[in-house]
Amino acid sequence: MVILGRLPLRAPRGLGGFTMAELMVVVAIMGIIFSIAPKVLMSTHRFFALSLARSEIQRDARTSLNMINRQLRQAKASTVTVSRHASDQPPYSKVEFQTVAGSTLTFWQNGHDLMMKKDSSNSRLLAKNIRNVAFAYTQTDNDAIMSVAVTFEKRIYEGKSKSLQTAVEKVRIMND
Amino acid sequence: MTFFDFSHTRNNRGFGLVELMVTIALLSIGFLAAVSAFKGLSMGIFKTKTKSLAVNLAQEKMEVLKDKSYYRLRVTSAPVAVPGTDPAVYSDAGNYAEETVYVGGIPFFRYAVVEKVRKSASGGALEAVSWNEVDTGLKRISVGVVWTEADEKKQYVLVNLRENPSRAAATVSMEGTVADAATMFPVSDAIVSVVENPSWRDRTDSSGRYSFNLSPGNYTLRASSGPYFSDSRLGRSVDLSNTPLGTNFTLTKKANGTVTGTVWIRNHPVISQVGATLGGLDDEEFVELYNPSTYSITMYNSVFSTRKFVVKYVDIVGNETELNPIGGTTYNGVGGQIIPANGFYLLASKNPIGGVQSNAYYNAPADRIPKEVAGGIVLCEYDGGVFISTWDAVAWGRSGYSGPPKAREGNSYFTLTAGPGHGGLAPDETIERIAYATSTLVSMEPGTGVHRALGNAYDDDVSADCWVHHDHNDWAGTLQNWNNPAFEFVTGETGTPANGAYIFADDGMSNTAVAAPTGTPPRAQYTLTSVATGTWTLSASSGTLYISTGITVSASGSFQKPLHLSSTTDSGYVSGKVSDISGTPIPAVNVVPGGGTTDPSGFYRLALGEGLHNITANPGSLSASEYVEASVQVNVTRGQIASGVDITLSKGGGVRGRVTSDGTNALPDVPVSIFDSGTALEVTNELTDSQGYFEIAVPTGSYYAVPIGEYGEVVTPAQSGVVTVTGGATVYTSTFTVGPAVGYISGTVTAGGQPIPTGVLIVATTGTITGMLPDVDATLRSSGLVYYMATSGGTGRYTLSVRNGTYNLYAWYTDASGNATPRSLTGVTVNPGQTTTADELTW
Repeated sequence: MVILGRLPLRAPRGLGGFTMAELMVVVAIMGIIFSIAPKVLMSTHRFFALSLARSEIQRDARTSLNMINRQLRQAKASTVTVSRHASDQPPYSKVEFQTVAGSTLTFWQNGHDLMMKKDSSNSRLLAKNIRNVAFAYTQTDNDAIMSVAVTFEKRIYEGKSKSLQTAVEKVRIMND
Repeated sequence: MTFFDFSHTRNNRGFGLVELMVTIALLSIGFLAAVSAFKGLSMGIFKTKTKSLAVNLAQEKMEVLKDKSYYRLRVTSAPVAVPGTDPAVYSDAGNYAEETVYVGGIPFFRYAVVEKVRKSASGGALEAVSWNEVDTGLKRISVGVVWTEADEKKQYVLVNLRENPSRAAATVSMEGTVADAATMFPVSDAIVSVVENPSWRDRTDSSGRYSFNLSPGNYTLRASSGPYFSDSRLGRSVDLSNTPLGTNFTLTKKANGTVTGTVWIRNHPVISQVGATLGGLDDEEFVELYNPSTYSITMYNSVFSTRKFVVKYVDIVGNETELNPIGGTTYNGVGGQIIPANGFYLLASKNPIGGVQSNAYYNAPADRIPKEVAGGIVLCEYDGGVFISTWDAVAWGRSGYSGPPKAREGNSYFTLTAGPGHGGLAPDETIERIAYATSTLVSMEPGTGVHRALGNAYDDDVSADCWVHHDHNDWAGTLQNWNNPAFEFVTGETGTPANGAYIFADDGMSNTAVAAPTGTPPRAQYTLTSVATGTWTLSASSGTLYISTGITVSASGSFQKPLHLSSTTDSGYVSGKVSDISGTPIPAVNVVPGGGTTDPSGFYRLALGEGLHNITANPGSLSASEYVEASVQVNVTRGQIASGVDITLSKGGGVRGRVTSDGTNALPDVPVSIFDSGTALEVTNELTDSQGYFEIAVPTGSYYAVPIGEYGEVVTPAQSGVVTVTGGATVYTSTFTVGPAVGYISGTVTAGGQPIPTGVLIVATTGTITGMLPDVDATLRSSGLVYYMATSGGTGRYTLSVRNGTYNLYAWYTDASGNATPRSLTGVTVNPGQTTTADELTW
């Protein structure tokens, strides 16, 4: 009571407080800002996330294709087998071969992961966010040229956006 | 002090407007710096990324190009620099069209060019050769990728080599020397070649060394050089331990002889005889002229009215009197206005004179040439009244009186001291131009043994040298035999000595000689040494005058050959030898321009106008049908000789054939290799023309043709039978069928009407696939049933390159949850060289 009693209901002269109208304008402006800001923030974030995803998967596509390309060049053409890792994987998503150096290498798709295995070492993850990979001979009676197609896809769970990157490279298998 | 104090007190003021603005400005600067730093960072990442994308794209194209067979790798004929590239990236729109590849939203432009290259003569570096040169067995592929980055053209070029696998590599260096068998001095410019493969050859350098590359094996080597006898020997390019073996040649020089002689210019009439009186009568006087050239000379035009040549008498004080004829006759075949070649011409005071007809006479009776005094005669040429030149003059003096300077030659005159009178030209006395014999001065009086038959045109432009005095005691007032046709020819050494003339023979061995004054009176003497034995053409050239004549030289002989220059020319001369690739001369080959033909020793010579000429031997293979034509460029200067312009012709037999897709329809642009049946080495290759034909010039020999199909193409027959090519004949090998040829299936895969960007696997086969695609292993690849595979790209488009036939298509689309679902399409027909569209693969 005492405190309330000390709060003046009317602005004393010389102490200029807010008027009702002023407050209402302030509240209205804040309302507008609060209603817009999240949308701006969201779209900015989505843009950043998308750019990040794009550059990530472009990088992944490049490195993984480079890796496959480099190894596949070393393959002995007669030892190459194209199949799939399991019956729930896309067709021709696995390649297995021996290099001239005698190593046995396998690249395959497992779900959204691109895997690699060399000899008896543990399989390792080459890239994530893979949609599908396909090892396709341009014609099977010529075992010297194979087209490797990798599609990466990264989803951003905002606005159902996704980034896609499909890269196709032809690889020449140098050895018989 | 209240807890909630929102009041503005006087000492507690907020920010002023200026303070706020300063703060905002500072913040902005910081913010901008951060933004630009971010931009720089992201640009850096972007640049590295695009560069490695470009490298990948170039590599990918390179793989595709390197997968083509060597012959299908078509050589760029017209490279075009891509605008804005530095150093220039070249494109080849004809064979390798520009490709635009979008990766990550950036357009990359991809180009490719293919060049033929060979090792440069100097060493390891590779040099490009023209696209239409003979195949070198090595091609250089350059793939260029160009993109734009921040308004700046960026480029990346990947270079790779492709070797012809069926060509025997010339890996072994064959080296050796060629030396003179007698002196052991090195022989330069000798050709050393492999008889089995004439493209393996070299010329020896100044130290007699040769060096060229060939493939290991046994060959016959031949060394040949113009002045030497050729030598062949069996050589092996490598020994058993693969070390290159050199072969040294010693060549025996062909025997040679010497040609000597004199060179004379005979291009103008001369005064040959002057008489002042016959038997004492003053009006019986004459001047005799002689034309030593090989063509007739017009003395007077239109019956003496227009002066062409003027004969003048010059008296002792220098007064000139023209002896202009008023009429003429034809006497002894010599017309009144013309002196024929090798003809005499009598210009006399009257007609007849001394019992003979004069060719022209002046105003008889007259005493223009006084007897028994000093005087002179001058012969000038005019053209339409305009003086051109003084061709000849003679001055004579008598005792106590010298000849008039106006008629002197070489400031000398001939003194007439003998005779019955006071000297000078007495009755029955004449002065006569000497004929020139090798040792003595002789007059041309008939009956004294040596006279006109040696000519009487010696004129070294010194009066005292050229004249003799003749007292015709036997004349008795008549001109006997002076113009007898029996004496009217010139075979001797006479004329004006052609000092400084160039003399050369086309034997390919001797050097050019220069004629120099020798003896008294001087003659222009030349000596050509080391002229190879055989029959050659000897040529002489002095200023604009030229002559060539045949000469036969035998071993160690010395041969006399006087040369007479009478024909004027505006030409320069080109001489050289036409030989085959082993150096053997080819006779009777046409050489143009100028219409020359090679002699039995393969030599030709041409007289050509000044300037640059393309000398072509055997144009159109008309004159030597077994050889192809060849050209060489030479610069011709008037009066000069370009000798040693040698042309090498290769034997021009041919093999011909046709490549079709089905026995009838032409298959253009198929490379066809021609193999030597003996060595089984490729000799040459060519692409079929638009009608499927190939026609290749080859040396004579036995060959077979092999068309090179692409992967998956079957050529029937695989090679033609062996055909024997003789000189000039083109032999048909075979009609080949290449099949099945390649066609394309192309289309777009869609899901819900939109192109699928995530890569759909497409398999085409003539077989049927039920369920899952079969694993591809070595067994499947060699099974004979071919599967063609492709993955659609980011735009959903796919293209399969397949043989013609009818195919079943199987496509697998992996959705977002990882499930692969198939679609199939049956009965897609593909025709060779055509694209069949198959857009029906939809999800």
